[in-house]
Amino acid sequence: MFDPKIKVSKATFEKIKVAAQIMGVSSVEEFVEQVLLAKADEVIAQTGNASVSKEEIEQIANQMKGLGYIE
Amino acid sequence: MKLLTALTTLFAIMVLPDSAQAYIGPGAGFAFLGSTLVFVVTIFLAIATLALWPFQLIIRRLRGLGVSRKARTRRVVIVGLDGLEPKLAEQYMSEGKLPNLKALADQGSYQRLGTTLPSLSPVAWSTFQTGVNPGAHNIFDFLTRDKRFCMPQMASTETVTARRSINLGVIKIPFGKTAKVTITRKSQPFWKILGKYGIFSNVLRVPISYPPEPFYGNILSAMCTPDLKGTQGSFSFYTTRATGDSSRVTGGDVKVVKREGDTIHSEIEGPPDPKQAGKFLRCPFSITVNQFEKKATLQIGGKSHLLKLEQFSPWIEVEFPFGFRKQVSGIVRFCLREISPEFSLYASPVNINPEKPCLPIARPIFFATWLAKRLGLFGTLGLMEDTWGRNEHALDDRRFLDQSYLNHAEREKMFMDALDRTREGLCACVFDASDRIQHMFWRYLDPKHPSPREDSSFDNTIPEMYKKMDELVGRVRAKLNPNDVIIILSDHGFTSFRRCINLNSWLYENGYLAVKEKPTGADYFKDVDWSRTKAYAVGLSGIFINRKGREVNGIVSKEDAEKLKLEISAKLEDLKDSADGARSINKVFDTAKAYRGLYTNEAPDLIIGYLPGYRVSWDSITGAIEPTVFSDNLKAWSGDHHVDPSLIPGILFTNRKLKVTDPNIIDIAPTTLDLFAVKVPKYMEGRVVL
Repeated sequence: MFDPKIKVSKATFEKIKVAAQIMGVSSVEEFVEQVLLAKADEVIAQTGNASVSKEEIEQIANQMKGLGYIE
Repeated sequence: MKLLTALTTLFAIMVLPDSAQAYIGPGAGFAFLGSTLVFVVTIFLAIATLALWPFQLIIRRLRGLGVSRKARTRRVVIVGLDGLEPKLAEQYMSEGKLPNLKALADQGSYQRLGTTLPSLSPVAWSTFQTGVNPGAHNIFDFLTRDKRFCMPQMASTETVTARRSINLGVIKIPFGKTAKVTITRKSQPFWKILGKYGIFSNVLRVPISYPPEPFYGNILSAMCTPDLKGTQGSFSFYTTRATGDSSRVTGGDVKVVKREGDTIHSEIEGPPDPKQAGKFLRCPFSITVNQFEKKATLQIGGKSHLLKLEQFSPWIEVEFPFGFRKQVSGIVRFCLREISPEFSLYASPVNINPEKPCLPIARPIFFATWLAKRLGLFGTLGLMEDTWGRNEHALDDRRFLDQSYLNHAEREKMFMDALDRTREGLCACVFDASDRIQHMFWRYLDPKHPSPREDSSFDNTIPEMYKKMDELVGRVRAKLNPNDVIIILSDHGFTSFRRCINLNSWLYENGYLAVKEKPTGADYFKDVDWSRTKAYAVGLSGIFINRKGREVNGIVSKEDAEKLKLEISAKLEDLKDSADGARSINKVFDTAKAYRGLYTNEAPDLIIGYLPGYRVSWDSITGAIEPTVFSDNLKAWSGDHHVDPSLIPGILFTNRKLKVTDPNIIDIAPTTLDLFAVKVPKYMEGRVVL
């Protein structure tokens, strides 16, 4: 129901705030979320499994179905 | 009061489908709750909000919120006319065919409006909303790729499925699945910032607003809002003409039906069945035809509806029961295409019923219900005009136009009502018919287009559409107060799409994309050998390098990627059409240089800026390798705008004087904030141009 929260120290938070401003991001939360997500994706890419099931393909294809720009 | 607010909020969080959290099933899925319960809760919330409204108003006044005395206007009206092409608008204005736009230009200003890289609606309207470049809002195309297996997928929403559980400390009690749909457009829309200053907004159908985010105002979501099947729009075509089994075609289903006397029985497919994977909930119907009077009677959900030959019905409610006394509600427009000797019936994609929405299509959650009660049922699908219905001949040109203008009229009614209700603040609406009609009727404007035309009576369809948009502008201007600011814009222009380029075929022919055996034309990269592939194309304009450490099976190092990008760009910029040797690509853009921001690394590495007449091929978009790189575009979808953005600007009309001669869509957000004397955040990149 609620998104999980992660605590960081005040010193870290201040540094993040500066970095977020430099990157031109609209909020500190947005910066933290994206930086962590990018790192997580990188780790998963190095160790992950690239196989995709038939169900996953069908689900993705279903979501795109009907979009005028694609066949 | 606090208790009531707390209880209302708690109830809403627990019960309502906030951020689509309460959904099950594949794709967008549908509400865990039946439509009836959502409807009841919606009404409860509406009453609670109404009761709290006077107190909230007092608090806002005491805190000094609202349109400030320093503001240069009390109201900003924004009208988006998707895809309006400046060359045509300028020509028709000079011929005296667009008097209202001409008057607006004379009163204030007209300029061509710079667009985004690439010049695609989801990208451009995201920049419009946020005042930042795509590298900072994360939308680069209609499609992106899943980094795990490089599969194309919708770019603007993300669905994460997880097991639900009640956490009781040491014990977790599982109870089914939940899927959360979130918008992947980052940064924030400028109306959210206005809201922080107590400035109210009515935002209708601005693309890339699904699922809508909470803010101080009303919003109705648009482009990429799914139908009840979780697709971008799946029509159904019932016919006695076809033989064999019913089949799925692009963008819909053809269902073979049998006529028993004057009656036909069939079913409409709705949302995915939560109990049976791959199956859909169904709603049965029957039709009794009267061939002499060219009409039929549709029996559905215990009600009768009259259908007239070749005319669209009003929206008709269809209910899909599931579980114990639960149902999901949708709406459909029917069009009886043939009566005798053969029978054919078109059914639009099943739109989410705005009166009983099972997905969060509006904010506040009851806004859609309130609108439907006030103005009648309206379509809710993101892309309402059924272009695939036309491509697959379930609709002809006339019916496609009728459908487009029915949607347009619905939108105008909604917008005019919003204008009447928005005395101060922002009132914005995007109209799509201009884009879809140009996509489907450009072949009538371009004598060199290879796609077949039905007959010459449609030759003036596009000029007529420009006139209709001009008349809309006239009606909007009539509602303006002297101090209001009006901004009329398009997100990009338009050009012909005669020839297709399969980028994946080109990458294969040039040794950048490897296959396991030989190309079969299969989509979703089924032929591709990722262990030997250096680059692949996904979506409408992007090429990704198969980067080590980024893609799961990446093989190209960061250093090699730079050389590879230069090599591919140089070759593509020299790519000649196999038919006549003409250049096809104006420029290839390296996004690491073109974009700035936190999401730049999520973008395709290269974006192709085609020359007018060319676009990526239909099959390349979803990862198929065709036998040839170039092919004719024979579809009714004959106009497009995926060319070098410098060649395809949009339009900008306003009743105030522009300070610059080169406005860009990125300037609209900071300009609107400044008009209301709201400080423009430092992260915004656009200029104040009024």
